Amino acid sequence: MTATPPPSGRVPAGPVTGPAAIRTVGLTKRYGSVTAVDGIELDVPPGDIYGFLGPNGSGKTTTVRMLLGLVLPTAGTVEVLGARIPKHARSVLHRVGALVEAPAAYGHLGARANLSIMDAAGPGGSRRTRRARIDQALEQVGLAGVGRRPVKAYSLGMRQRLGIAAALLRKPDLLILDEPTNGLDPRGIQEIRRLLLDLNASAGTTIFLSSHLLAEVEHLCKRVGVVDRGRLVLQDSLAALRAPTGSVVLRTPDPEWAVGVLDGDLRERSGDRLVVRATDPAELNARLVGHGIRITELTEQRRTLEEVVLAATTGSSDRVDAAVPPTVGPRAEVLSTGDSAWDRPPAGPPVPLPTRPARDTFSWPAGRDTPEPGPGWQPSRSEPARSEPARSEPARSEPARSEPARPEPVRPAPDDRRPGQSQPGLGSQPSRSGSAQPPDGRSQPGPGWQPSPSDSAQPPDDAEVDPGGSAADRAGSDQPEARSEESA
Amino acid sequence: MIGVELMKMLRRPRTWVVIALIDALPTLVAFLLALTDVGPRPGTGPAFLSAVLNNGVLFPAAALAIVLPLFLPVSVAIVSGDSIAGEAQAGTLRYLLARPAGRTRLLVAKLVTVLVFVAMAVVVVVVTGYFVGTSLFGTGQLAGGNIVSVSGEPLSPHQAALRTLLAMAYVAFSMLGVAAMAVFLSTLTDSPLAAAMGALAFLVASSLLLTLDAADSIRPYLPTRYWLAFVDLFRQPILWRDIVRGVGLQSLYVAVLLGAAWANFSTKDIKS
Repeated sequence: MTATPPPSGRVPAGPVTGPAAIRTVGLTKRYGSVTAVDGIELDVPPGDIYGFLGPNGSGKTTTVRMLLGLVLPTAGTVEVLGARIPKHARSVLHRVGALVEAPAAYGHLGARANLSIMDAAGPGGSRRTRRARIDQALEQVGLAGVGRRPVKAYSLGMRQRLGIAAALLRKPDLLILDEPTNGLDPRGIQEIRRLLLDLNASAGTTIFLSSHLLAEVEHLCKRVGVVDRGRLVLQDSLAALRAPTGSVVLRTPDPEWAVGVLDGDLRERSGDRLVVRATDPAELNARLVGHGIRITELTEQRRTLEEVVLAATTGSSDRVDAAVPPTVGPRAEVLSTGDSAWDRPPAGPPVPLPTRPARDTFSWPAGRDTPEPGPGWQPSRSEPARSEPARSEPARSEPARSEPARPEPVRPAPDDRRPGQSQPGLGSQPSRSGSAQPPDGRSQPGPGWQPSPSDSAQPPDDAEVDPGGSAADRAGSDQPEARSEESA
Repeated sequence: MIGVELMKMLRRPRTWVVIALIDALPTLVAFLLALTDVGPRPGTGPAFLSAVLNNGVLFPAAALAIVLPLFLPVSVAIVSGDSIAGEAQAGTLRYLLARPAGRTRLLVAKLVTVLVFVAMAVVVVVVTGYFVGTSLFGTGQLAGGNIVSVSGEPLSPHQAALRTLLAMAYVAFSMLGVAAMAVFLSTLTDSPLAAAMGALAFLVASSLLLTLDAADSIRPYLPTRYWLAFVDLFRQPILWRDIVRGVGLQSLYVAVLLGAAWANFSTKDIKS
């Protein structure tokens, strides 16, 4: 099976045809003897939502600045929307909306005056439509009623919203956003996320999202590039990266029986929580239930983006240790935070499996476990398409339900799977289709292989989305607003 | 772009505060002179002040002479030093350039803005000087309305007005060297304060060297050397030699420094 792009359905509405939204070749930036960016080859097709990840100081911002012509590359080339940067910046950058690091504005002026100044400062912003565009952009980011208050009186979140409004002002074909949800509260983060997904789905806006917030990328992006110490160590679809580990995590009130039944397949146990080597959760479930063992929770274990990124990167460059470079320290630090903590048994000799069960796999709402074969997802991998849709889901938790017949890809002998901290690098990531698949986490598939927005661009929040539909649901809530704004 | 930058300057409260402060000093001097009626002896103190007591029409020129050595250059250095570095410090520079405003365009717009600021400051000083001077000291009706020039010959009011205009132009032009220096420094640093202070240091050094006999050989090339040559415009006939040299010298400084500013800014990595 070859990674052929699906014939149709992949291309969202809007101006997404044509050259790559972003393409860099051998992009390098040296500051004296320090190489900040080292031969980065970005490839962002139009209509994509691309997550650009990396530890602090890994060269993300320098790369973003080179995309915008702010920093001039030492070597290599940048093409944005088909034009060379910085040479032809003037002809193309007005079609790009950008948020670089923090938002910035003239503090003594209000939001509208600031947007007006920025709009007038370059080509492509017609004066006739300026007022309407400003109103629309403020509306989109939730600042419509902001009035004349000077920006210096704004909260951090308001400034962030204003910065996003400035990026949206000319309905850009490409949005380059650096930490767009910085300083926003959870509701604001969700609003912006929805806005971005909506822009991507309705206008085909390509979104390049640079972030070190894994959750944000996990919720939004279809493709991910991971940069570490100036090098692009990974560029792949999120679904491909978040491969299952070949284990199933389950909880049962009858752990002793279960251990007996599972016998050699048990990998790890802590209390009533068992990690079981199994390629098919449904089969495992049936087996246990068949033995009369009650199951409270059963989840296919899946590599989280966090694990993928931590495996691919070496450490935070903002961490300065005394002697040996910390390759393990920061990882352990991160892994021990948040909700993965419960996941790990108290420290013991074997390195605990640091994976946590993917939030999306516990169970599947009706209509989800049957893959949508249509315009959605085409796996570029050599595995049956029907096993795919689950992967393409961003992390989500759904109401419990047993797993009847969700097909699972064939797994190789489970022994070779030891994900997590022991991963020395990319090459050893378990490829998600198992033995049939070369471990090619790095490989770049052909251009047409991300999920179409209707499929993978799920609204990230769990609570507000009824399991029945994704794009349709969003269309119901947000689209009309957008449409009326456009017509305004 | 130029319009945008002008609007930004004009909408900034600081612009008007600075101009008001520049204007306050000559006004204060005028009131003190009028109250005490004690002028500096001819040949001492700021130019024209001794003559002003007889005829307020000369006060605009006197006001220029008062603000020229320090107040005007300080304000010009602040505004020009803020031009690029201020945007960098506020973080707006990256958004302007990613807009894309164009680096050369932005620099030109900033320069025009500085020029307009200098012109505004000079005009405000002269206009206030005229009103304050004529209302406090009269228009010299006793002397037949004529003005006594620096060289002792009388000047008609018409001539005086024309020469005041020339003096305004010359003073504004003299400020361009400072402005160019501050703009150049402004492209080097992200701190507007550092740029303004650097430009002032340049001026102070120049003024200091002017007073030093050992610096005699470089004196003709010091940027402040011909600043006060505008007084020669009020001689009868006008003594053009220093004025021409002053214009030439300032042009040279402006050309070199702006060239350096452009070369630096157009190839600079914007990391602010």
